[in-house]
Amino acid sequence: MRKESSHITLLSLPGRWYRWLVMTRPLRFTRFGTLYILFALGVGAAAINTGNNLLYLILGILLGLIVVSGFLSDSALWGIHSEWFPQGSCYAGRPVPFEIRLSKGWFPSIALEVTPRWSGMAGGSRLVFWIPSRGVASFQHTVNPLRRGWLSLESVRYASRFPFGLFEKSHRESREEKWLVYPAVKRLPSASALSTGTDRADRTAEKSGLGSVPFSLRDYRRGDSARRIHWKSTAKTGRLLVNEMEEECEPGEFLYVSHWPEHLNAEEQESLISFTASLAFTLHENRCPVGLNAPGIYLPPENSRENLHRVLSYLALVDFSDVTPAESGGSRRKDGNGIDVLARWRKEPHVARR
Amino acid sequence: MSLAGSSFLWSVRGVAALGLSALTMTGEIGTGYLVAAWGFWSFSWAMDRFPERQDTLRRYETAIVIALIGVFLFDFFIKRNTFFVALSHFLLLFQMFKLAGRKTRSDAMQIFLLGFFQLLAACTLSVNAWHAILLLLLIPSATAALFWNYVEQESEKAQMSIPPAALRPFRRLTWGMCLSAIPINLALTLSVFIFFPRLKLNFSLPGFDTGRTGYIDQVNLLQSGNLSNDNSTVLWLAFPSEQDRQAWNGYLRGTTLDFFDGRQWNASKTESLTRFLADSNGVFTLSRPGPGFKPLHQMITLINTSGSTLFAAGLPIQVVASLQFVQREKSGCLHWNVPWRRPLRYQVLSDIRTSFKETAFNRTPFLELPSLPLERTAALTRSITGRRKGAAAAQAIENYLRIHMQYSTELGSPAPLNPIEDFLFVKHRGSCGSFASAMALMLRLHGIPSRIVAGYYKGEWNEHAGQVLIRERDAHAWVEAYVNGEGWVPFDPTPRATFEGNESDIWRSIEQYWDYLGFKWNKLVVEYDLYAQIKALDSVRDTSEKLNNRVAQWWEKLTSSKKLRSSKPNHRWWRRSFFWSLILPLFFWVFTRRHKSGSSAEDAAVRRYRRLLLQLAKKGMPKGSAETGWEFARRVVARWPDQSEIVMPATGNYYRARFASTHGKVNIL
Repeated sequence: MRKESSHITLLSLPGRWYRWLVMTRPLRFTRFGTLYILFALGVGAAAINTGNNLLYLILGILLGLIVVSGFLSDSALWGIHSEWFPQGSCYAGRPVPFEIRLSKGWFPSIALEVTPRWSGMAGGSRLVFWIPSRGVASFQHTVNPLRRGWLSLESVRYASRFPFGLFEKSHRESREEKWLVYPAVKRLPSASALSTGTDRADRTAEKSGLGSVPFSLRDYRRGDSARRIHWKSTAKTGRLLVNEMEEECEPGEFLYVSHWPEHLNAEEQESLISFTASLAFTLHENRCPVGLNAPGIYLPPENSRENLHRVLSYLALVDFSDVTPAESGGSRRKDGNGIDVLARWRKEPHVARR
Repeated sequence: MSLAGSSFLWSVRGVAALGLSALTMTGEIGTGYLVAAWGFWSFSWAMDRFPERQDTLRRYETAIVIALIGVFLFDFFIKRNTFFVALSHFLLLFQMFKLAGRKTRSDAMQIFLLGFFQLLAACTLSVNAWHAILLLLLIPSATAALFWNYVEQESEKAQMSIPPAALRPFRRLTWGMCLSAIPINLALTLSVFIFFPRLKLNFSLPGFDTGRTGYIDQVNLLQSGNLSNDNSTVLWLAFPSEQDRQAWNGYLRGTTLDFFDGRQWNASKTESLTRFLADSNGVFTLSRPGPGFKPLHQMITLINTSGSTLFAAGLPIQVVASLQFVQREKSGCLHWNVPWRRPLRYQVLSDIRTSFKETAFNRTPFLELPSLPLERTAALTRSITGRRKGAAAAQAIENYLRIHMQYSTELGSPAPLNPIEDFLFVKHRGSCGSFASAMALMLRLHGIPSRIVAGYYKGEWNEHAGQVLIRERDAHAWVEAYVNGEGWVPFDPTPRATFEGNESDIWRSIEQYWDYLGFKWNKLVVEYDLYAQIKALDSVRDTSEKLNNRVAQWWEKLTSSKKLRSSKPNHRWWRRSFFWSLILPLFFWVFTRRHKSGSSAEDAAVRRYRRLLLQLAKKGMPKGSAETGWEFARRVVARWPDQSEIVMPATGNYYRARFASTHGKVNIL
């Protein structure tokens, strides 16, 4: 289904009149068009000089072809709508393929040049040879975002020399679409990613589950195993009570960032962010739940893609001027374990700094 | 070859054919050139089967082009052809070379341009009515050629051809464009034609001016073979009234020939021409009407201006023409001497008395005899005339020739040394030139000054145009004899009945209608000048005034009728319903279109938000491109806290409308 844009009113009747009468449509003469105009002027001059009426007729035909060209080029250019779909997540420094679907109104489009304008980035143009009437044409366009943060598509310029190649008419469609670009990530060696000396077995999930460590007592329910009955408490209370076991905790890592150092230059800042993101990415790849405790965010470890994206999203938008400290207590995590990212980053400069 | 390539080639060939046709119809291009050009055009597709030979030809392209330029220069400077004729020859040769060679896109485009230039050159060489059809066909052909050139160009750039699924839509698109181009182009062409100013600056460029050739300034008795019936139009002759048409005797005088060398008649070299200039009204007054003046008004549209003669009936007294000057012979025949390439319209007031005297008449030149043995002719003359003198003798000679000689266009074998005696005593048949020559000579032998007049006789009445059409086949020669006491008296010894010819009715009426269309083409297109332009604009103004008055009268009638006066509410109701019947459908259409695109409330929210952004930008706070709506709203509120009640809700509504949530849609995957 076509995505309706906010400027759809331009295609209604008053909008069409407005478009025809008021809106500027940048026009650029091609080389052939310049020669054509000069030729028409020559014929006009000859007609005026000689008074030969047949030359006036030919001049009229030449000018008429220009008008016909104007009508047709307008019809081919307007009514175009594009939808941009990135294929996968966007990471800084990595090319991102976008699938662009162009749809057209009642008039087809031939040889349409599509030029996106990205904020803070040059965008190449692409020639789409044929868009059928009331149809869709797709093509791939690769963007290479250099920085993390928002990749915004400011506008898309459609240009065409249809139908005679005399002029190039263009039309700029403003867009308000943004995509989040995650920091550049690298797959780190597992040894450097995983923390050392952490006793994972001591960690608890702090919730009931299917573990082997008693967690709490509750009333007996039909179906509970008889072996679970806590006879001592049952005798005391006079009702059947069973042991509820604790959920066995999956091994996971907390990435702890006490603060974002302000004294770092831009390159070092990006390096730190990139290292943090790489850590999270590598841990996730090793099926290790990842959590994050950093200024302005606390994410418990989870072994889910969504969680990873939350971590990366935070890192994509983090601002070093934000002085909000990490979770109170200065602890790495609530139970005291985790990876001190800053310390790790300082220790392993060959990994952290490219 | 791809669809685009083959379609492009065929459309280009179409334009080339139009150019060739236009040049062919001018009649000024050498037959050899045209035959060769058509041959190359017809068989260029066959040459495409030998690409190696085409490549060989291409290798010598520069040399061939230089040679063609040399041919053009030779044609123009040495053979002294007119510029456009020499240019047409060059274009034809170049086109032949291009048609024979391998056709890349640029080659095909050059063939297209050559065809176009040929059409241009043809329009300067002739103003034939066929140009109307050619120009009409040019519109779709040029549209198709330019479109396919564009497609080919873009295919080369994109390095891809038309997808198979798009072949049919492409063809339909081409047809649609060509057909829709015709009415749009025609409308604009007519507008340019009608309203573009007819300034006619007439700046002359070196080599572009042409000299004038004389109009049939001789009657040649040495022609052999047959005289062909040339049906091309010479002029249209109109009379202000039917009486004037009835008063006309059928003769249009062109030029007088008085020197006979035994083989052909020429105008005497001692004849001087008097130059006349027009007065402030553009009227050339040639002489004053004498006693017994019989006026005849004629309006002549001279189509064939290759000669420099202004034809007129009788003796012209006044001429109205858009010429700088006219020249008049002593005999009263009129000429002009400026380059003229389109029909000439002029009016003549003539004196059509049967004879007119000359003051200080010198008989000698008109009694000169050729140095030929004329004893038999003299004897025949004596036997015909007897003792008669003057007009009676001339009448007798005229009657004799009419009765005893036969008109024929078959001239037979090459004429002998004495063509007059051959005509009178051997063949007894000949064309009007032979009759006139024989009579003029016999009159001179009898001592009566005589001369031959070359002109046109009668023509045919065209009912559609309401004018007399004179063709080349109506060319005629007759005699004027100077009779003492009367002056120059015309005599026509050619028998009339066989000379006039017969034609079937159907063919004649078709021919008449086609002539009428040609007449209209000349009148409406070829002769459309500044005055016609002003007249056209005046008539548009008059028509609009008339229409305006009619509407006002109708409205007056409507509003002042008793029925409407007595029932005012009905009148108002009528007005109201008329107004709503126009507005409501429009409103309904706009409404449904708007609602097709989504909820109007949502659109309104988006529009309001955009207006807000514009106002804030004007106040010096533009929204950054990488800034989200909420970030911007917080920034605005931080600067102008009192605006929070406007900015925050507008931002929220905007997000709801665009992203269906107040926090906006963020594209995170």
